[in-house]
Amino acid sequence: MPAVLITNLPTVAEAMAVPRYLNGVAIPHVLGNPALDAIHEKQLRRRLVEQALALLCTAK
Amino acid sequence: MLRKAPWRKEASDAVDLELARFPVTDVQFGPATRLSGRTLLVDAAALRRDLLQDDRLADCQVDLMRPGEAVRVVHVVDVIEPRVKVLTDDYFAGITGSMSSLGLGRTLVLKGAAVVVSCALPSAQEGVIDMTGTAAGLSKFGQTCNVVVLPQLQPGLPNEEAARAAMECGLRAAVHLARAAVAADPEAVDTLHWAEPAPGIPRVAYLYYLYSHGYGRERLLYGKTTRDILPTLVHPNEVLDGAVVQCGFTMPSKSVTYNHQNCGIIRSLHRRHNIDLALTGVVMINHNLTFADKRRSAHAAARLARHTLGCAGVIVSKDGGGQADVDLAECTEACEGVGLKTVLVVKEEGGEAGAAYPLVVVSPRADAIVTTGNGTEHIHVFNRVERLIGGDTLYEGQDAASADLELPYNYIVGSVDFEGDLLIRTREL
Amino acid sequence: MAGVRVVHYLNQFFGQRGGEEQAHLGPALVEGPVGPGAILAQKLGPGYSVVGTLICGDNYKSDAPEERSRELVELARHLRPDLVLAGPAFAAGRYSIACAAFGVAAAKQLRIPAVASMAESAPGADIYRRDLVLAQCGDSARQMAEALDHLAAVGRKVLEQGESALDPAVDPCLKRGLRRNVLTTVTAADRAVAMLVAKLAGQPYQTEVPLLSAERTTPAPPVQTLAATRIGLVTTGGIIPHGNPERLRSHVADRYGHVPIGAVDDLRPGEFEANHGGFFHGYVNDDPDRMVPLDVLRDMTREGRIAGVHEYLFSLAGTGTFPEVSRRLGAEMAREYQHAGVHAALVTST
Repeated sequence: MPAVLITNLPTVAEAMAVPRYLNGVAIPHVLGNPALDAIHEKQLRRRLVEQALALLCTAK
Repeated sequence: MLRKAPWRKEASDAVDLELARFPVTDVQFGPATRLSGRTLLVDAAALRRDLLQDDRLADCQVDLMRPGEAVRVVHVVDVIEPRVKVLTDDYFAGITGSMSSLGLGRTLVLKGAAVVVSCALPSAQEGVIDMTGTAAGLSKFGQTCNVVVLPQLQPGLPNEEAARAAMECGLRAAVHLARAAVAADPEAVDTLHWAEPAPGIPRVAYLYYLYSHGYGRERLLYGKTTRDILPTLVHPNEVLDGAVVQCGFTMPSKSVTYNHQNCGIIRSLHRRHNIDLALTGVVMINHNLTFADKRRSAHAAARLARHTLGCAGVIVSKDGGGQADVDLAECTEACEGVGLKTVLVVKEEGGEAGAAYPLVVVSPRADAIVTTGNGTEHIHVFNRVERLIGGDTLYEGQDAASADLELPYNYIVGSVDFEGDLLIRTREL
Repeated sequence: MAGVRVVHYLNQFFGQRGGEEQAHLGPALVEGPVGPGAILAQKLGPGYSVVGTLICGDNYKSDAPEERSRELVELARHLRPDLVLAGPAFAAGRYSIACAAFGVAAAKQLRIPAVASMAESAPGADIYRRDLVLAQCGDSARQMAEALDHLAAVGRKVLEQGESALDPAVDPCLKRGLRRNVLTTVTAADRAVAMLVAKLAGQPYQTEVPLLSAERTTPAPPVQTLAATRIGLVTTGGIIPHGNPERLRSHVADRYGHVPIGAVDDLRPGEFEANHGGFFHGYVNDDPDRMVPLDVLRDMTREGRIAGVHEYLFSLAGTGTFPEVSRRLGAEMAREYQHAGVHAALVTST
């Protein structure tokens, strides 16, 4: 089954030959940014998830 | 014409760093803190008074540990070598010491002594030191005369304050004890002179990764967290003179301040400076939180070494676990990519039995790696514990007085050294 | 060494009970050495005696190697062995596995050293090399004499000097694929500077950590219709309900948690938190959606962009996990998803 990885260490994903991966924000907050207010942070999270789901629909 | 006040020496009058060694082979309590031959006498009450000047501390105990004694300390947070600058009577520039004397002039060192800070801080990971038995043979602090300080923090302190208070308690104690050397004569003086790189000798740089992410996972450069630094050039003598202090007790392995003070890689480079290679400088790099910053720093450091410092090769050390391996992989790619011959120094994470591949990721161009041992390997620590300092139970629940304690090397403080001043390595079975 | 008591393990053939037709034979404990055990006893030398031989049919053993091994060890306990030796099994499939499984059980239950003998190509070698010292031998029983030499030599060394004294470069034992800490005479710092000097001068040097190559897996075909797809959420950030009801480890994971999120719209601080020894938790504990984007996926479900999210979040702390364990857990997750009608996964990592 297709899987997509959101990670802050894309070097590891490449080395492990993970076919579908996306670079997240930062190690302690891969899908967030505490410097943003709640609304913008959620928008950021939404954008990243959309990108990840788009990868799920892409042939590799 | 203005005359210089006679009591005030300028730092520029001093050349090079002089580490004046005062060997310590025993430590005892005494009525005054002083050196009596090679015995460090400690006035515990005076030390306690000095430490309690920091009102973040509600109290502080002092204890002693000598090599060969059946004693164990737990909940270790840091280990520091007692030192003081002659010029300014302080140390640890930017925290408890002045910047003006950093890396120059005479530093008095109680060689063979160490301050051990034991404190149960929130989210801390375990750290144990034994003076006899299995662990003593693996740790450099099983051979040093240790003065243990046990700060008790005021209730209600925010975590960050508590962490800093515990750290500064250890630093202050180290300076306090080192002042015993002021009235004594050193046994030897190590002058760390770095001559201009001679023509024809390959120039190198030391790329020194440090880990700062947040509470309990920090290294301080001149007292400032390295969290958001871009690669920063410093003189090797600044590192060897207390520029780097650690506050990293939530990490599985304690990269103790003592290791930074005695940076193995810099000492080894000095021994061969202008013989086989010439060190041009030390580049501090943070193990950054985002991948973009990791890549940014790796390439910035590579260019700094190659084009600004004119190097032909670099040594790179890490300061963490898996995400640190990512930095090293990026750094290897960046450095080899600009033609720098690269050597990595790594602590391995191959698991309890050493069965897993030792690094989380490695660059295919990393053909020159030196190991400092597998920190995650489990070992049975056999010891008879007649005296226990710091707590009765380890954080993970084991009885701290147990004569057979199974621990990873990471928890045996002094058996791990990212800067390579240790005699532990892995061997393939 | 005075009076080292050795128990020797053999299959039905080398134990002289018969051939393949006797492979179903249950265990028999015989006093003293049997068959090749007599020569093994000679090669071990004075001070060692083979006090008993355990003979067991290969099929009896292969039905349940670990369980049967435990039974067999208990049979031999009253002999009070100081050392257990098994085989030589050469390249035999069932026999090499039987020897190794027995050795592992004996070492664990009796807390004594154990060595099994087999060829590099034996199936037992691949499975057990990390768990047990394996003495080397050839592929064929024609090499019995040399095999017994090696088994005796390795057995003696393990008993007299300990496992960590063995060096596959020098001793006749198989490489274990393990890296163990040892004390050395030159510091890592000195070795690193020497290595750089050599590398700069174009001279040969030996890296201390060999490079790794990843095995490639075939990527699964993409999702066709996202709106009809249920997504399974996996995290290696160790997100768990407050209080860690499943008692999950914060490092070296050996299983994954099933965190119930079916009735959860948004991972709230205080209700969920990170249990992971390898990263700074502050931000994620303030808002666990920063690690597992449940809030966004719920929005997308309401909008019809996806069909929904699986009711359990699969969670583990991704620090220090063994690759083989990761592979096994991944396969388990995939099986669970298939049964639950989940056809795509979103994995988030620190």
